[in-house]
Amino acid sequence: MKNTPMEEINLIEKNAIDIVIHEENCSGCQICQLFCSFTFHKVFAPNRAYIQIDTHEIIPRISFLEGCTQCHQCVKHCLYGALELRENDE
Amino acid sequence: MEWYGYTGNILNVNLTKNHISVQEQNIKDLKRFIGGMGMNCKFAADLLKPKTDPISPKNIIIIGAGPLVGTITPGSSRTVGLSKFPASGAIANSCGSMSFGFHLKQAGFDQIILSGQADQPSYLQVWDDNVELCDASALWGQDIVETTDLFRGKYNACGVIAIGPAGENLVKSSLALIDKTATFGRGGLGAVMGSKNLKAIVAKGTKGIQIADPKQFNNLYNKLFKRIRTYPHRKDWHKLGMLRNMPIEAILGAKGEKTKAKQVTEKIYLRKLKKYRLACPSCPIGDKDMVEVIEGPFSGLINYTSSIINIFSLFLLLDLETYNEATKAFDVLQRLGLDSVTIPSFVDFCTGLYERGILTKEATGIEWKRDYQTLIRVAELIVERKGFGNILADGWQKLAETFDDIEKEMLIVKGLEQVFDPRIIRLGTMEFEQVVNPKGAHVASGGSPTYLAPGRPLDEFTPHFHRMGISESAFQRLYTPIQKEMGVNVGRLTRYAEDWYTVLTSLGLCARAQINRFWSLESATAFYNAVTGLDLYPADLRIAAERTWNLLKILNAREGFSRRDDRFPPSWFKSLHYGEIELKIQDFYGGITLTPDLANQLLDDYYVERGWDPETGLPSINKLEELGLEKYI
Repeated sequence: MKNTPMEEINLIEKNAIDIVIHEENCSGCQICQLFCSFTFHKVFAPNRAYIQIDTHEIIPRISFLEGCTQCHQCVKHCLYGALELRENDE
Repeated sequence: MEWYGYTGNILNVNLTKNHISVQEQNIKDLKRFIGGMGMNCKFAADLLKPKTDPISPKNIIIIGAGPLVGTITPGSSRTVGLSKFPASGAIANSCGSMSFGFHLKQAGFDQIILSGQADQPSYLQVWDDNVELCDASALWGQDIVETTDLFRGKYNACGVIAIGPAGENLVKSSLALIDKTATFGRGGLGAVMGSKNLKAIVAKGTKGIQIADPKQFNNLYNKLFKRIRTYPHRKDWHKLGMLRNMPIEAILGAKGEKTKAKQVTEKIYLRKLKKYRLACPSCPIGDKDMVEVIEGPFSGLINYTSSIINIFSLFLLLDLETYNEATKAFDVLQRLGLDSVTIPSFVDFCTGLYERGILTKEATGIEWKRDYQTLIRVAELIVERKGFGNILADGWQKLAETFDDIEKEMLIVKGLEQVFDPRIIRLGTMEFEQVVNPKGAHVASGGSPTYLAPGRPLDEFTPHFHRMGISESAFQRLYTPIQKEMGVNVGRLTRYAEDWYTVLTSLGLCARAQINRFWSLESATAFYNAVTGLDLYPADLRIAAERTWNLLKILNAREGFSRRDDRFPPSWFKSLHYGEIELKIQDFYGGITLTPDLANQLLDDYYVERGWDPETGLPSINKLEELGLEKYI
């Protein structure tokens, strides 16, 4: 059975999974941002996403804002290998 | 009215009066003409007077972004620009991608209609409701990359349409770039912007796009996303970009040009040029490139391009020495706002005339060669409109008027040079589209299963016909060629390629094969309905696309275009000596060498399939009445 988003979050906290960022792989497609704002606010608005992609630089800069629930949908929707889940050993 | 997908707002900018106003979309129009391309044509029919001089304040520029742009719909970042183009004198749409349309929609606008002429160099800022015509005097003369970087420095994330010195100096083949990457307005949109003293348009938005049915959208999106994510070729596209589809190395190898072929290999691309993969907003494929020259005199050069093929293609026309030289040459053209097909084609053609003594160094100031130095020299003379460059700046038709008896040798249609030579890759719909497209030799609107696949088995066509929304009643005609060996009727099929392109472009979807293949008329309609809340059938979109294409044709009929302008370049019927190979124009399956008579029969079939008069090549009264367009005659 599939986990609910809240169960996913609990699971993540329990397993202490980190999001590892590989900015050099980011294409600037903003799919992660758009999916985030759509999931949480039902609108496609990059500025309302909890993940921010700054395409101003040659290599896009990726950051997470306060309020991010670690639902990891951004990771699941990244097709370019810029976001990766990795277990935190600590 | 609550708007979904569409923002509902059209921005009117009168540059002469510096007057900016906003009008609301008309929902009745949006049911007859879809978004970007469809509404561009509708506004042009209402606003653009026939016989307007393209380089005059009376010409207009309409920039549209379709209803899916600004959402996460895969590949929904098209920006469509309509104007009367100076290279051909035709009214046409030109498309580009990257982030301008995305930001325009986020700022709350579906379309911008620009008219008049600013009294000084200006740029248009569209930052949510802060729309303003700003002074661009300090930017005039700057190249496109410098200009775009300045705006990126000022506005951070934003979409930028900018012109370079070529557009400022009204070079008829000049274009604009979106985000210094995507070409926008082949055929002279750069010159139209230049004539309006409009250096750039900058869009930045924070309003967001609401959609009508989030639940249904989510279902549709997740299914499509899963299909794309698991598609076998996706990782190859990420790795190789457009090189995955267009094997320039193989073409040069077949020509016997092994030295050149070694410059455009996958290995060279991956080890020596590719730096980062670029994607437009919402694109899961990402086949655009940032390349970096890492050795030699141009070391450190970084170039953004809509396709690595743009750079490698220079080897097909010219005798460049290295991939680094090609990258530098492409970068120079791009920064100036010159077309990287047009200028190398001029050099190739003029060098041929020079070798035959028709052009001389004394008359032109140039010792013509197909090399890097000549290309750069010619580009500079064109942009500065100096000497012989002033003739080339006014395009192929001016060159034809200058020298007797050379026009028949030019590989042009309606003043625009060919992109694909059917003698090299046989006659598919893209090659045929170059003849019938109202703008001139334009290929993008001719996409079909014939794309880069000469000889493809016929049984692979039917699933694509269904996907493109072609009515089954047409299938038999499509499988009835003018000669049995031809297998498929390219003339008739081109009509449906254009309609399918119009659906995609109007919605704001990318028409490149990499994304196009995931879409069908049914899925596009489902997304359109979920996003906008409209309740349309696939047939409604099919008819809206046909209506749009017919309206585009009427606009050009009013300019005086007719069947006589849909002309196969005479040189296509002559042999092309390609290395040691002699190539002739052949049908898609390679069994028939096309003659002018057979080509005319294909044209007849195209017009008949469109419901147009084959004598004039123009829409019939019956067709216009059927589509509700009779008032535009």
